[in-house]
Amino acid sequence: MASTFNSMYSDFKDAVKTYTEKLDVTERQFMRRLTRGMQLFQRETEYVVQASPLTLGVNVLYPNEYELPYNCIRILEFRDVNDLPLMQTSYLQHRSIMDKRSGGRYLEAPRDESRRLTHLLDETGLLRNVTVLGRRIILKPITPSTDLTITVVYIPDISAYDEADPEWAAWAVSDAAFMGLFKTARVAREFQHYEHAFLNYAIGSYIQSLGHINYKVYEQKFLEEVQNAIINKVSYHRGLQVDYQFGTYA
Amino acid sequence: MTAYEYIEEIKLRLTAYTVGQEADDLQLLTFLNNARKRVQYDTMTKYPERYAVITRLPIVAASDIYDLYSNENQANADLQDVDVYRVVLPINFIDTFVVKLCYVEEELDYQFEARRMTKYEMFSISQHIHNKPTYYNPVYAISREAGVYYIYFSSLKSGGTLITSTPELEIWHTAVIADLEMIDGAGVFLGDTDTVIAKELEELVILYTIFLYLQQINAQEYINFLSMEIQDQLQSLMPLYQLDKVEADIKLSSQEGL
Repeated sequence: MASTFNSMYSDFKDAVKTYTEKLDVTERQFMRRLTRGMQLFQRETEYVVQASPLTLGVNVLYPNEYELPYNCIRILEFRDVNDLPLMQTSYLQHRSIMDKRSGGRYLEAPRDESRRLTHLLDETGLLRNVTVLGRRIILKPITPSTDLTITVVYIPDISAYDEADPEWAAWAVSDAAFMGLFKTARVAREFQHYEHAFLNYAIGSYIQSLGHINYKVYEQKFLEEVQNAIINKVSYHRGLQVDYQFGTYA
Repeated sequence: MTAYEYIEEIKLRLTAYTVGQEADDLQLLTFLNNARKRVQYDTMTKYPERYAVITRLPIVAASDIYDLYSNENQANADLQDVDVYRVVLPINFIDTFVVKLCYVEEELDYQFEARRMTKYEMFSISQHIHNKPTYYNPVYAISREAGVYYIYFSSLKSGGTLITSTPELEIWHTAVIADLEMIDGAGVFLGDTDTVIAKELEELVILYTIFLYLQQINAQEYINFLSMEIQDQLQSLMPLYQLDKVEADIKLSSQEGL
């Protein structure tokens, strides 16, 4: 089982007492440094993957748009309600496919989509392509109205502790609520093997703020753990065979 | 040693100085108490912990409140305010080692050590989102205004409500030593036995008392000799102190003047 944040804070104090008698790091500041380490760890290693259902037309301009989760770093794939994959295309390709189907505006391209574009339709005749605009908005043709919910599988970002962040809402109610969680909560199970890496980051960044060169030691330990995590993480690579994601409609 | 033993010893020593003056006990007692304070000043920079006492001061949340620092950067309105409380320190206060916030809540005894800060930092730290003072991470600063020492202390609230109705400050501080055989301002007889001056410094107290007495009767021929002896005594403490200092220098100092 992973350590509580309280235990990790004790480890932190134990390590930095070599460098300062006057610890001006509160529990909140410690959480900030620790979770900043988790954030960098996840960005470097892309260690955890998240799947989120997306609801149509929320926070977006047009009715056929979806909004990507705010913590999305990189999209892996889209699936529809029937667990069938949706093809990601560029915006121009997306418009091209859409417009061909709705009457044809691209005279230079073949108009017989029944022969050339059958792979873009599923067995029910739905268009199966999506496009992502500005890392935020997803466009998808909606026909008919039952084909509403899609699922995105993506690499999420970890939010560093911030009381305005919805992920940390339970912590920011009051000081007492914060301390209650601080004493009992742990890092997520997916990360528990690397909790010491986050701790090293917190120690290193604090020592760096003291102006002491020894932060390099802790930074090095953190980066070593990052490399270990990249090597050891569960991946799609099996026996030197890469992801089967280069082909069309893969 | 008791005042009685001190005065006996001093009278015995004074026979060596052929001054031919009378020395009455109360006069010597006055010099003795002054000499003890001089010894404190001479040795306190080296061994402050010898002159330390522990004092508990109640904080009256309603009347001791001094200021309220609002932090508009804080997203949660319940966490925006940092209250500052002002508590009067005892008259013999010199400087702190440790300040703790103590209270009993639901039969549990809570104690949180407060971090000392400069007065410049007092406001800016309250504006920090992650490092701001809380009841479990309090801060304090010390100030002297109009002849009174105050301790400024924050904070006692969680989510906008007081954590307890009976908070106390436990202060470990250096204090001016009390006089022997004196009656203090509250009419309490302070006793005869010296419990503060360490055994190895008693000789220094005796020398200082004789020095003060000889000054009073203007026995110049002995004063120089006694000054040298006092200096010898003080210097003999130095090797021991320097050994201690080597150990102390391994860690960073957090000493900060008033």
